Amino acid sequence: MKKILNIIIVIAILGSLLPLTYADDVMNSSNDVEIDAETQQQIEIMNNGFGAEIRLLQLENAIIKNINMGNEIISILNEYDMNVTNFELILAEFELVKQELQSADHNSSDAVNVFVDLKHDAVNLSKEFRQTLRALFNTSMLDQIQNQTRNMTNNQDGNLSQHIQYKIRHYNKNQFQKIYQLLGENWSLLIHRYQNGTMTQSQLKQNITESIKQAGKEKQFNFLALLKQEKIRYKIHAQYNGQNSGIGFQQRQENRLKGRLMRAENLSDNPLQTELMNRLRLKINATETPGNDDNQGGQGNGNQGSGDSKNDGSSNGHGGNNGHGGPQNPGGGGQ
Amino acid sequence: MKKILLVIFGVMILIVSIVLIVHISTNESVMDYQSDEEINIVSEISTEVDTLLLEENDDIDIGEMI
Repeated sequence: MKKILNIIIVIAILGSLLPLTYADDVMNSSNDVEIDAETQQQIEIMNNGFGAEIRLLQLENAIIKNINMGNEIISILNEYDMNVTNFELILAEFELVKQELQSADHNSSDAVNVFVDLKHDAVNLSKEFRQTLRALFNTSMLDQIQNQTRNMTNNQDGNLSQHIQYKIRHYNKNQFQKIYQLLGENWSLLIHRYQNGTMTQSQLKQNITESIKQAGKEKQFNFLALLKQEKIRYKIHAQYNGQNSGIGFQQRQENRLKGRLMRAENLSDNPLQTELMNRLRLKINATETPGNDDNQGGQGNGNQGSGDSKNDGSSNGHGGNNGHGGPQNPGGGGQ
Repeated sequence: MKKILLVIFGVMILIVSIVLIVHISTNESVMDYQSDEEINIVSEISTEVDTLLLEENDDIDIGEMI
């Protein structure tokens, strides 16, 4: 009898925990999201300020390229006497995203969040611009516009690109030092040559391969194990950061939009100020709606989704009307 | 008697030949295996090194505007 009572008590305790687990799941689904695989991989190097700086600069470069491309497209559309207000509004918001990125601190503990959030916004703004354009033109016309913009976009952002390349070289130099330490060798002269630009990355890698070929079996296995250990360390760190970025994503999105609205209020000299503020208010309302998964878009600017079937691999959920982003998969979306 | 000896001699040569062929082929396959294993480790190391580095033209894809 006593045993039966004990069993009943244990079942009762376990039963009482079930609603807690369910409640936790519900809370997660309302505000938290998962980071897509591409972004997860990109944040792997953000475990230090140097890697974080590279990713933020790369994102800024990508945004500047798209803003310049957008401006070029608008100037072409102006030649056809078309209404470009929707395109200009998207670019105006793109500018606000760029400013947020430029004011971000790569040494801050929330640098990963900034990267994930602003990449998500940039992907969605690019997609919105693309969908709006595709709804207006046929493929041959789009090809013509693309050809007209090609020459202009080739030589953009040279300084920033060079700066990023320099940073990547510096990052790789540190990585090579680490790799040679794991190998138990000191090749500071070669690393110095790599940093100077007198030796390429592939030459230095070839050097490591040759060195490992000559080593004994045991050393080869040990080196491989150490490299894998290092890689796992990066992945765990990225996983941790990725999970943290996913938590409270929707709340952060709402805060970002509110911040943009406040900054738009100061753009009194911008003829699009009122429309930009309306656009941001609509977005804020969409994120605030209870149970809204933010996939419907619905900015009401009259551009019905074109399906965006041309080479569009974005993993962000978009609905029909210029959707501004599904939080289910922040950051990502290779095109 | 002579015929029996010739047969025995012939059988012995046959056995030795078979043993030799088996030995050589086994040894070759072991060598092949060792060589493959070595190549695999080196190529795996090369892959792991790649994952720790960034391409100098590496960039972030946020999608096209067209």
